[in-house]
Amino acid sequence: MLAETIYKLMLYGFLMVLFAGAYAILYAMGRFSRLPSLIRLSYIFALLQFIAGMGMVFNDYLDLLWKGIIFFSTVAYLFIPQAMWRVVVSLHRRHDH
Amino acid sequence: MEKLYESQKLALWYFWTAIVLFGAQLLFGLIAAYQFINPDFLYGTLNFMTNRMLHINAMVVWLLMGFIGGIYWFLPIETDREVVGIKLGKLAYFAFVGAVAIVVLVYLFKQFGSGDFFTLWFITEGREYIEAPRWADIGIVAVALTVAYNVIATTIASKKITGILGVLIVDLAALFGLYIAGMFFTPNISVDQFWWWWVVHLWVEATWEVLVGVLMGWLLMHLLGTPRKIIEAWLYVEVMLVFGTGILGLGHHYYWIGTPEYWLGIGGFFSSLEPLPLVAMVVHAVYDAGVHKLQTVNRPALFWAFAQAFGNLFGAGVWGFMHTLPQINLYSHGTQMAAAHGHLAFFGAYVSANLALFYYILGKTRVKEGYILNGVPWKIAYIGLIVGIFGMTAALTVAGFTQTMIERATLGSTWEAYIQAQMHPWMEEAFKWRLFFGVVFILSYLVLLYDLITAGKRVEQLKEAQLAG
Repeated sequence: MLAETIYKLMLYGFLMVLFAGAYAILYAMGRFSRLPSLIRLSYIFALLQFIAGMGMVFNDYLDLLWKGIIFFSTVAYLFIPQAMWRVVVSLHRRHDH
Repeated sequence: MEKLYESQKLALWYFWTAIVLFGAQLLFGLIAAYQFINPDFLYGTLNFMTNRMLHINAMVVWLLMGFIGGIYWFLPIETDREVVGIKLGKLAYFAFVGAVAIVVLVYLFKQFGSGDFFTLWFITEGREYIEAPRWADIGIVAVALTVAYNVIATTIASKKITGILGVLIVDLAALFGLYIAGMFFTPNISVDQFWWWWVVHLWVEATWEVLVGVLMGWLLMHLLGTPRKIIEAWLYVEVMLVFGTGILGLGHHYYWIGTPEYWLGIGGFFSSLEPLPLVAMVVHAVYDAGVHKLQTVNRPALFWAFAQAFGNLFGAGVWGFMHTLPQINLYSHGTQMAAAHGHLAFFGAYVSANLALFYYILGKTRVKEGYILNGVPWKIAYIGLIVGIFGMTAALTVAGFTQTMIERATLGSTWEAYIQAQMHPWMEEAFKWRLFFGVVFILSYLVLLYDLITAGKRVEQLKEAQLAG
């Protein structure tokens, strides 16, 4: 039982950051190349990231504090690519002007 | 091809020495990997503990040499003048190389001594990853101080301080300052480990990260023509994010060494946040790749720079996060899971950065204006090294998974459990696959070495449109 719980936590943690990375890469590629299909695909990875995060949040092995930290992270990952895209674009735009 | 500063010639010495030591790291790693399958191999002659020590120490030294080489290459360009203490810099280089040679010979032929001060000062300090004897420790600090002096004195002499130089100067102070923390001696193992992690973690996950940020910033400025303002703004963001999460992320090493329980919370909290800046950074990498359409006069340098951005996310972010929470780490700590994370993270964050810098320097020294550094061998080496490192990481992940689940979580960390896990087919197969991908990696290194030695012979002429662009 314990081994199964640890295994699930590790797997969800692995997938959470992996999907967060895939979301960030595809979102940035989609925005750069102005391909809405790629942006939509990135949202699928955002959803998968969120589901993986929830897999950790709803695991009874973690207490409330840790569930809160994971929940914060998984929500932050949803907005990081968009926020960073704005930062990067405004940085370059400010320089270009 | 421009005329080189003396400092840039010194940078080339550092890079070639680093590449040779990279080969030594791989050779000792390969022997150690084989000893996992056949423990009798070279037993009593070149024991596993010596191979592992040399494998890791060689890595630390060659990466550090590459970083120093990068500093000496870009410093005169940044300050528009020769480095002030160049003679001192050369002296430090020879002292560094001589010290490394002596330490390696002592490791190979003496290996260990009795638990007294003679051993500590002249054979090995016995601290994992930083086994160098005390005299060599002092030498490492002296070399770091020399680099710091050269950077500060050259900056003052040039009467020109840039944002990048400011970050570098602060970081160099941390680079030699933190290493001193690893030289405390205390009989209390918990206190000893507390300071030891300052070197192992803070060097790697704070000062080295920032140093690589500085070097990659310079590289992007000169390779892609990215404006300084953007590089500096981004560098400040990176320093803030890396330090914000990385410094107290140190706590994940304090879980089980006898420190107070609050380190579980601090370490777990900041470690959970550590992948956030890595995810943020890939957005900028994709943007830069798009802007430049992967076109530059130095293809290998550009591709290794991108490998750095993405490798950091996978190695440090994905493989780090999956076992960083204390609830998981209680079972995975010290297993091959940590080795899997370490292999991919170091390759992604630092090996790629050094190779990008080295290719850039070779391009500047060997490729004429109007030509592109390209060819087939670098692509073979690039793909081979990436396949090799991911293969080794996957194999070590399976081995670490076996230890975590079977030895720790199921059988309860007894000696018998350890033996059962070691003899489990998943473990045995994983070690064989690790060796196989280790061979792939070392063969790719040989192709890389060939390409580095002959780089400049395989060039393409720039097309008219590229020249106009």
